[in-house]
Amino acid sequence: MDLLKNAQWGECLSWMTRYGVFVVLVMLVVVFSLASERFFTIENGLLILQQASPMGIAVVGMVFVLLVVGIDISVGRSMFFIATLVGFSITKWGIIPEAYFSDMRGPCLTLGLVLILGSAVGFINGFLVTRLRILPFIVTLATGSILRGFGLHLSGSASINVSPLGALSNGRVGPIPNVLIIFVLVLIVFDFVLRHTTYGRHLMAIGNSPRNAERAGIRANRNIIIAYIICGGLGALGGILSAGQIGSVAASFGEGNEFIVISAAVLGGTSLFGGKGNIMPGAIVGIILITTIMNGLAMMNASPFVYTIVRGVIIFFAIALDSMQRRGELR
Amino acid sequence: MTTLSDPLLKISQVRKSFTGVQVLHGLNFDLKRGEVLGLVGENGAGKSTLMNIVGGVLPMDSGTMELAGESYLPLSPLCATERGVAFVHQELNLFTNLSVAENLFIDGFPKNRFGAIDRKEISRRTRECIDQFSLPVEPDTEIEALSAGIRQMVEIAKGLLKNARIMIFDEPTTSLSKREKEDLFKNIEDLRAKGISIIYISHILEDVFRVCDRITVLRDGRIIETKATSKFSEKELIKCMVGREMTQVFPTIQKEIGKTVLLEAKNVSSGSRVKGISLQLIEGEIVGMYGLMGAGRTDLAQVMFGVEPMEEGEIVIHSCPHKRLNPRMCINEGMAFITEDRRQEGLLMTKPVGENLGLVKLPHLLNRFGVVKSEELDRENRKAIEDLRIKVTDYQHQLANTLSGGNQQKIVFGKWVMNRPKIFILDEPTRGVDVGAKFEIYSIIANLAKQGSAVLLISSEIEELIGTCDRIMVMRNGRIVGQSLKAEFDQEKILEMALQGES
Repeated sequence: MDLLKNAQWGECLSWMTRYGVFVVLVMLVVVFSLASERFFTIENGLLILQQASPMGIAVVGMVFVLLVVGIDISVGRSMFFIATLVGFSITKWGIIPEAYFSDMRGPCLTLGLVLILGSAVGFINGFLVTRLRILPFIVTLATGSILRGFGLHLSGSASINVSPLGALSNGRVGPIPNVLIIFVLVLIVFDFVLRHTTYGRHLMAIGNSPRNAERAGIRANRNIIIAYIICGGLGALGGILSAGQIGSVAASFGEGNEFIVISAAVLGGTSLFGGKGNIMPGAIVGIILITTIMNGLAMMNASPFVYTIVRGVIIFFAIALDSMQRRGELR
Repeated sequence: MTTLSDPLLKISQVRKSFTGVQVLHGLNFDLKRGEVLGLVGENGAGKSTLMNIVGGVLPMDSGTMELAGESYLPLSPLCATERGVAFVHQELNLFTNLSVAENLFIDGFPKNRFGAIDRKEISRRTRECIDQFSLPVEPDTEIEALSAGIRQMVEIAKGLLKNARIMIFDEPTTSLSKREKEDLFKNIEDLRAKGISIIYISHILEDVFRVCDRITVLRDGRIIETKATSKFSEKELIKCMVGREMTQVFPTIQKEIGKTVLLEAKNVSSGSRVKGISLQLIEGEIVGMYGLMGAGRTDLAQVMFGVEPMEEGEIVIHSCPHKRLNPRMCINEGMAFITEDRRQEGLLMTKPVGENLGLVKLPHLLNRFGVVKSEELDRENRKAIEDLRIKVTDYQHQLANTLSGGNQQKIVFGKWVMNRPKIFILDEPTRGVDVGAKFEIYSIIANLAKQGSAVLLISSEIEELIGTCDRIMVMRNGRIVGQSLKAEFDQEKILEMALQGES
């Protein structure tokens, strides 16, 4: 009798983790559509996608790290640091002259620079986590703080103009936002990496059982470092696109983004306990859900402080579900 | 030149020690082609260590191994697999979040020309494998969705895919249902028919007799006997397993068993490892609890101390019945729990001895402002160190991890004894402790009983139980299957109960 109940409960939990996020998303769309007639329009839909894309790119990277029971909470602060560097490269140091932004050279140089810097940050995180065996949470808390400190030191907490990036971040190809195209490309590439390459499958294996992975001869440390590099690189890419959308890098830029990124990944079904997660559809749905909440509440003229409360409640449920399901797992 | 009659695996003079304790004393061991060799012995006889050496999990200290006439020195499990030695561990080496096909090829995916995993290829080859063993799975099924028996078959298939010549099974039937067990035995028959040699480790003698061609008995890191299965009787086998001389000396401390029942478990059940246990611990009595690995002894101890929840039954402590317990309640009721893993549960290794000793007593040593009365704590510490003869030079500064295993265990005792408990649950208190320190720990236990405490001593060493206990209970499959009083203690009888008692 009890067994039966347990089995049903377990199935119910697993159904909720798999489809719950979709149900919540549909429910939110219905509620917001009833509350505001401007919500359920094609234009607003595209706007939500445009708003969701930069952080969505960062979520993809985060999934890789979460899969190996890691976490990267430096991602928001690293976004700030790298956006600051890019801002200075354009306006002050002339590394990427503003004139370049009249053609493709500007955006390409910027993205290249950002990917290199982000990957470097990721490498440091991964190195510290694997070689020095420090908890990922602590490592990335520290590196994040250091990066933010450097950024503030450079900018003197003044807002930095990055408006030349606006064309890239806010531009559209026909009706399709540029950032959405980049997001979709990132999704395709990294979903492929995760599902169809030895690297991706080894990452899943490490997250499932580090001991078994070692017995199977999988090079755990190297793979984990690469996961942090991917997370750092994609985080920085998302960050600079987000900065471009705003047009400037304020002292508060990036703060709390790690929270959005990690919770979007968890909402999308990626487990904080490692070994379980996906990019398509998980990472997409997660970030769209969070962006929809913010967008819808804005449409309803809700106080901006309500965002964080609603977001917090949803994340709490997602993580609670993740933990409850884990207890029933037989590994 | 090697011929068919030569052994496939030849092990000579293999020695191994852990932190100074010798566990394998120069073993010699042969495995013929296409035979099933049973490996039996008590807990800690060295079976797992030996097999871990063969499987490349552990390095040996000295000795040689030959595989099909060539030198064999596996540096890693992967290395062993490449030489054709597959190890099916009790806990399987599968990744539950990956599919059957992915698990089979995890250490070498075939790739297509884009560098991606060639899904078609692994599906095709997995399908072949599935057909060959008639596994009831699809290549894309995730391991998570499979039962323990089928998971094991996948693991076996994985070994065969790598052209295994030797397969080692470590307690393969513990998590299998009756039918799955039959399937496994059929598989083992098939493997043997293919000329694959099998080493079969198990506590379940019935199974060993059924599947094995020869049986090797290990005791204390030495091979006692190897014979054809038909030449062994169960009685004889058990005799070989325990036939140890009682050489160890145990303290003789006169004590009296009182009348008061300090703790009584009534029909206690929890999970699959504790089923309807009833027992009584009486003032001044040392009760032994024997059982093989996985019999549920540790689980019982955890339930009794409130670490694991009790699902049925009740525990009466000092004639006060409890349906639910937690460790804090147990401590307040005067219970002490000394765990088998002092590194993880019992001790703060990087803290000074004094701090460790004070842990349990601390809440009772506060003055009215909630600050620790350090003089009193000091006095208690010095008393414990003296009483238990803990060898420490400066207890306020010397860290726990600088002491020997025996002295560490004495600190664990010390911190509990300070609280003057009346009921002790001891789970393998002498594991990893040298002979001298063992004697001292036995003395401590006997003295506790003399002072009127009740002790439940869980141990895998029969002679230790015989030497220290007034009564020995035997567990098997989560049930108490027998009990033996001091006058009638007999190693063989106790092991026999643990192996085949009605459960």
